[in-house]
Amino acid sequence: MATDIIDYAYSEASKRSDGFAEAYAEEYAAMGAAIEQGKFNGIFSSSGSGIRVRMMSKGNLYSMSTNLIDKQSVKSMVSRARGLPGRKVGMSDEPAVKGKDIVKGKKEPDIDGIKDAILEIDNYLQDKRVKYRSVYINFSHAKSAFMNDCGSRIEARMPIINVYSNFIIAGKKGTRSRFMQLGGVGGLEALSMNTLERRLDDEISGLYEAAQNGKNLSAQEMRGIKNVVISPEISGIAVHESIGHPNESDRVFGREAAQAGTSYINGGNLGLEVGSEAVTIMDEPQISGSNGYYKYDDEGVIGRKKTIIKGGIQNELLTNREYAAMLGIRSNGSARSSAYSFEPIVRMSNTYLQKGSATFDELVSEARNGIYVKSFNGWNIDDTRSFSMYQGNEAYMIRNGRIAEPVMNYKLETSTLKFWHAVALVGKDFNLYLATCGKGEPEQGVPVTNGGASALLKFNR
Amino acid sequence: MDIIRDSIKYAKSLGFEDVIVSIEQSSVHYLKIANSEVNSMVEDRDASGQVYLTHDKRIVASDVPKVDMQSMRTAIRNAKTTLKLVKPKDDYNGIAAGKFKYGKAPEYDKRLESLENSDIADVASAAINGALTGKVENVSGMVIVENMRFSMGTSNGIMGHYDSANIRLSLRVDGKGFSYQDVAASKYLSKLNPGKFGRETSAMLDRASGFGKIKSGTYDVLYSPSPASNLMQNITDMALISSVETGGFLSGKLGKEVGGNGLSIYDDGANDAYIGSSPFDDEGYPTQKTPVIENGVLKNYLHNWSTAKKYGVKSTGNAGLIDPRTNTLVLDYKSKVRDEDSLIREIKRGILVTGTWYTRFDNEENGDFSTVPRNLAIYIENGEPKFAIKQLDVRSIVGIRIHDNMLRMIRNIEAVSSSSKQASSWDAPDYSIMPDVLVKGVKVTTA
Repeated sequence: MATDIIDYAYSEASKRSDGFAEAYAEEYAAMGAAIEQGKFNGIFSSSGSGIRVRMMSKGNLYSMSTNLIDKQSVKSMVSRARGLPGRKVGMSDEPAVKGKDIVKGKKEPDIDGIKDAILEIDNYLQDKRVKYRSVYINFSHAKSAFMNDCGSRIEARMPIINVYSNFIIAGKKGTRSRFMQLGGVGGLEALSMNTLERRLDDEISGLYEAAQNGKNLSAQEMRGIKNVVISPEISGIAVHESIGHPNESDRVFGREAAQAGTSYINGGNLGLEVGSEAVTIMDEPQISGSNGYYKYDDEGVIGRKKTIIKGGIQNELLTNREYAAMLGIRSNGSARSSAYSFEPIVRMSNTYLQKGSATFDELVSEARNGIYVKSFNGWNIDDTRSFSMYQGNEAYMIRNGRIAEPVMNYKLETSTLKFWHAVALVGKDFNLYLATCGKGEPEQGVPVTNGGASALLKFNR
Repeated sequence: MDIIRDSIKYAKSLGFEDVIVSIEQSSVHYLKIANSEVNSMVEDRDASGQVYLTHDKRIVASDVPKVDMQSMRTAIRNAKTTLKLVKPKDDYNGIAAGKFKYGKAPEYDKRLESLENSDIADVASAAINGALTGKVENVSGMVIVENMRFSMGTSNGIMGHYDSANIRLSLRVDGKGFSYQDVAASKYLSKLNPGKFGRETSAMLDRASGFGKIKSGTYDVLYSPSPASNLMQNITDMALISSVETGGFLSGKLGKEVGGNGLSIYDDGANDAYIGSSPFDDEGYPTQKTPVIENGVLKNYLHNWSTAKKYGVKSTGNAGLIDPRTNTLVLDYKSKVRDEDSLIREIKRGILVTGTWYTRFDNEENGDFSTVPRNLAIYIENGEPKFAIKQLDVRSIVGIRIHDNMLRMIRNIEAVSSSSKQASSWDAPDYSIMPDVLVKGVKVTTA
C-alpha cells in the first residue's frame, strides 16, 4: 500500500534535497453511476494508490509522482529530481503538525446506495416541464498520509459525494438550462435528500416561469437597470471569480500567467480598496460537511480561516509555503492538489461574502426599481479578473419595491471594482453552492463552495 | 498483451458478453516557466488498466490500479457483483466487430522517450532567451513531454497497440502593458525550434503600437488560430451524438446548410502528423477523417459503434470507453487569402483577437455564447491596425467581451488565411489544425 512506504519515500527525498522535502501517499476508491433521460448509462468504478514527493534539489522545486508502489520505483523517481538550472526557492518554516483528520460520513453508500440515490434524484426531475435531464453521481473516499521537513506527520480520510444534475426546461418564450452540483464531504447525508425534492421543484417552477413568460430586455432597458439584488448564488460566483482567484498568491506573483492567468492585485497594490465598506469576504476550509472542507492543507499546514477582503479593503492573500516565504509570513494553509499525481498549488476552499443584517424584503424594497438575479448560467471573466459577466438564468424585474415579471436575457456585466463598490446592503441570509474549480497545468479540479449572503448593488451611487 | 488476452478470456468465462480491456503506461513531464525563468518540474509516471464489460445491455466500467493479472481479475470479479445492480441501457448496440486494417503505427522521435530534465530545461531556456530578445518584460509558459504506450483488446478479437510521444511548448510574453500567448507542438524534437518560437512570440508584441479604447458595438473579428481553435472545438463537441441527443445547437440539422458554403470542418483521428492522432479508437475501430461540415452542409454526427448502429450509420471512429469523443479538428475554407496581413487589409472596422478563454454558452440549444479576449487585441480601421485595446487601467488587460452565436459565426466566416497551424489554448487544450479566421459582424461589449 502506498501509505506503507511513505517513510521510505520521505527519507529518500530528504536525503537528496536541499532542505525542503515532503511525501504524500494516497489510496482511493470511487464509484459512480449515470442516468440520462431516465436511461441508466452504467456504473463506473475506480481505485488506486500513488505516492508523490516534493523536494528542492540545487535550489529548484520538483514534484514527482507514480502509482508504481515499490521501493525501487520510488528510489528511482527521487533520483530523477535533478537537472534544472539553479533557482533558489524558499519555503516558510511552519510548526510541526502531528494530527489526524479522519472524516466518516454518517451514511457512506455502497453501490446499492448509489443506485438508489441517483434513481431518487432522477425521479424528482421527472416533470412534464423538463424536456431533458441527466444525473451523474460519484462517491469517493481517499485515505492519505503526509510527512515533511517541519516534522509534520498527518493522516487523513476524506469521503466526498457529488451529484451533477443537468436539465432543460422548455416554455413558450424559450428554454432554460440548469446545471446543479450537490453534495459535499461525507456520505449520503451531504445530499440533504429530505429537502432536495422541494429545492428541485422550486428550481423547475422558477425556470419554467422564465421560459414561459420571461421578457427579453432591450439594450436600452438593460442599460437603464441601476439597482441589482443578487442571490447568494450570484454573490458566490462573483466572490470566486473576482475576489478569490485574484487573491491567490501564485497568480499575483506570476506563476500561473500562462495557465489560469494573472490578477489585478500585484505586489505593488496590496491593500487596494476593492469594494464598499459593506464587503467582507472570507475563505474558510474548516466548514464541516462542505465541499471545500479540509483541516490540513497538502503541505501539512492547518487550513485556517482567511479574511481576503475586510470592509472593502484587500486584506490577505491565499498562500502556500513558497509564497508565504516570499512575503515573509507563515502560510495560511491554502495549498491543495486534486490527487497524488498533481502538485499542490494555491487554491480556494469555501469562499463567501460575509452576511450582513438586511432581510431579502429589505434588499428588494431598498432597490425600489431594478432586477433580482436568482441564478446564473453563462459567465466569464478576463485574464486579470477585472471585467466579468454573469448571465441571469432565473431573474425578475423589481418594480416599486416588489418582485415583478421574469426576465430572460439579463447580463450583469461590469468591472470588478465597480461591482464590489456598488454593494450598498448585504443580506442576513447565507448559502453555499458547490463547484469544481480548475487551475494549473495539467489542469486539476478541486472541490469548493462559493456563496454567502444576498446583496443589493446600486450602480449610480 | 498476455494480460489483455487472459482478462478477456476470464471475463467471458464469467458470462460477460462485450469486453474491452486496455492498458496504458505513461510518463509526462511538465516544466513550468514563470517570471522569465525555469520555475519547477512536475513528473508523473503511471501504469493502469481499464475494463469495460457488458451483459444483457448492462454496462460496467472500471479503472484497474495495477497492471497485473490478479488486479485485472479482481476488477472483473467485482464488476460481476456490481452488474446485478445495473439497469439495462436499452439503446446499447455492442462494440466494434470486424476485421479492421489500421494505418501504420504512429511515428515519432524516439529521443523523446529518453529526454532528461536538463534537456527539457534547455528547450525552455532557448524559448525564454528567444523571447527576451524582444521588448518583453516577462516570459511564462510550459514545456510538456509526453510518452505513452497503449494496448487494448476486445472480445470481438480485436487487438491493438501503439506507442506515441510528443513535445508541446506554450509561451506567454508580457510587455508594453499587453500579453501574447501561443503554442508549438511536434512529435519530433528537431521540428520544434524553441529559440525561433520565442522570438516570433515576442515579436507579436511589436504590433501593440500604443493603446486605446473602443465602444461597444458590432465589429469584424479576425481570430488568430489559437482563439479560433478555442471557439471551433465547440462545433465538433456539439457534433458528438451525445451532444446531439442532449438537444445541442446541431440537433436536427443533419443534411442542412449550417455554415457558409465555403466552410468545411473535419474530425481527423487518422493523420499521423497530428499529435492527437491514433490508429484506432477506444473500442479498436480504425480512426478516420470525418467531414462534420462540408461546403457549409452538416454531413455527419460523430459516433462510436453502438450509437452508429442505433442511427443506422457507420462508426466514425470516435469511441471513448463510454461516450464518443472528438479527434483533431481541421478547418478548411474555399476562399483563402495569403496571410494575416492580407486579412487585416480586408477589414473596415474590426478587431484582431489573439487569445480567448472562458467561452461559455448562454444557451447550448441555439448556440448563443460569449467569450473573453485574454491576450493582445488590436483595433483595425480601414485595413490598418490602429492600437491595442485597453479598456481599464490594469496591466495586461483587454477589457472586451465577444457575444455571438455558433451557427451565426460559422455562417459569417468571410475568409481564412492560406496556412494553418496546430493550435490550442489553456482551457481548450485539444489541438486543432486552424488558420486565421475572419468573422463578419460580431457583437462586442466593453468594460
